[in-house]
Amino acid sequence: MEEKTIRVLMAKIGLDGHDRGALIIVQALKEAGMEVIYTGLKNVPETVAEIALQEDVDVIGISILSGAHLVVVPILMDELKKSDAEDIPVVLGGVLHPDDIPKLKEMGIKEVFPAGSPVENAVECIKKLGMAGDKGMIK
Amino acid sequence: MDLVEKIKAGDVRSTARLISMVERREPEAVAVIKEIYSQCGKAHIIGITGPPGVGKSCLVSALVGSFRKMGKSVGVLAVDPSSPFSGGALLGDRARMIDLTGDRDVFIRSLASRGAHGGLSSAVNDAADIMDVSGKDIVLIETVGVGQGEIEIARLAHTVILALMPGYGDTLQAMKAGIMEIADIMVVNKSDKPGADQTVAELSSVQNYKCDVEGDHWKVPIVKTQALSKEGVDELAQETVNHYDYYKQRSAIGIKNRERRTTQFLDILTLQIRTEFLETLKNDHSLQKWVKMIGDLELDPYTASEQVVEMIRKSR
Repeated sequence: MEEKTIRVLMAKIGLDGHDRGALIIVQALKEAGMEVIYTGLKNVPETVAEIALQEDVDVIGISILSGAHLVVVPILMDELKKSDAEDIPVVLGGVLHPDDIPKLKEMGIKEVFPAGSPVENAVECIKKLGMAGDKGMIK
Repeated sequence: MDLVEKIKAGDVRSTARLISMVERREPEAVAVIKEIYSQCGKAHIIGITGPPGVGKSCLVSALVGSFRKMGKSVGVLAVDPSSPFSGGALLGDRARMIDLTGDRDVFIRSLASRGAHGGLSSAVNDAADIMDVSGKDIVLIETVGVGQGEIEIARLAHTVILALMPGYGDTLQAMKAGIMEIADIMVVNKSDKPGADQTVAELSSVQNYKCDVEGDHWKVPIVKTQALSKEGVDELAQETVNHYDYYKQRSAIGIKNRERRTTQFLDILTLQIRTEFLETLKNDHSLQKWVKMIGDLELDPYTASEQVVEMIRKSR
């Protein structure tokens, strides 16, 4: 039996054309030994939830620079809930007002990384969340 | 509902989790594979291979669209390489397949190669079986962007599509052994680029016939496609169906399946024997002793290996 490899979905949601930040995180996660599925730009939350399920990821990372986080995050969380997958932890990074951080956490986001956060912090957090989840058969 | 029932009913999360557990070779997952094995063999397994950057992922995406128009359900297994240093991987094939989301009859799963050679992942056989039992008519496997010798897919798939593009090389490239020989269908993708007809001409001048079933030959078709605009992709889908039918009409699917299962069995057996033998060596700490002697040039690796095998034989 092999040791657990953490699988992460890195997703861009909404009309947001910049993914340099997301790609830097993707690269860092890969170098930390994780398998990262990247969605590419401009996805709807429903797509992200579907991919997370099919790929059986341990953590979902959302990157948003468009300012639409308070609109799209509740849709994503709702989609995950509908599929009995609200146990998959979701973290978010991007450009946002500090006042939004508690609101996002209220919505169920596990951790928020505003612009300027050190990359290692995100990697550490995702690793910790990824190791913690239950990986057994779905009963 | 038990797990096998759930997978048959198309439960996405159970299916996805079982594939993860198979990737880790968990005994619980292996037990499920044992249970479903006898129900495999319904799906048409198609492999798509070719050098990096020819458009395999886009072709897969377009092909799935064509198969869906034919009313067939599709499972996709997209393999990308793991880093030999960190063990991590960027699984980027999926980003080209976003058009396919929202369709319950399409299941896409990315797999990292996790150290396996030959352009596949060691879990791909089991993952294909899981897709098969979950009721997918077609299982489409995209290999790692390969070089010239990665031919594992030919042992697994019923139909192998080799994707190339204009300007990939000359007739000499096409004549080389290895990857060129495993194609049941050749595709010249990005055919809007200059030189597409030249490439088709070079390919057709070299190799045309394959896989004789008792003296009968399958003529390898060469299809021009533009995956992004989907041009030529319906034709490609039709050729894969033709190829499968060709085998079926000659009752030769069984031969292909037996070849696949023989390889799979020998792989599993080799792994099990190796694990067990190495375990024995590690337990009596003799492995390090041999490694040291070989490293110090006191003993050559051939003699050491013969001595180890002799020792294991005696201990039984």
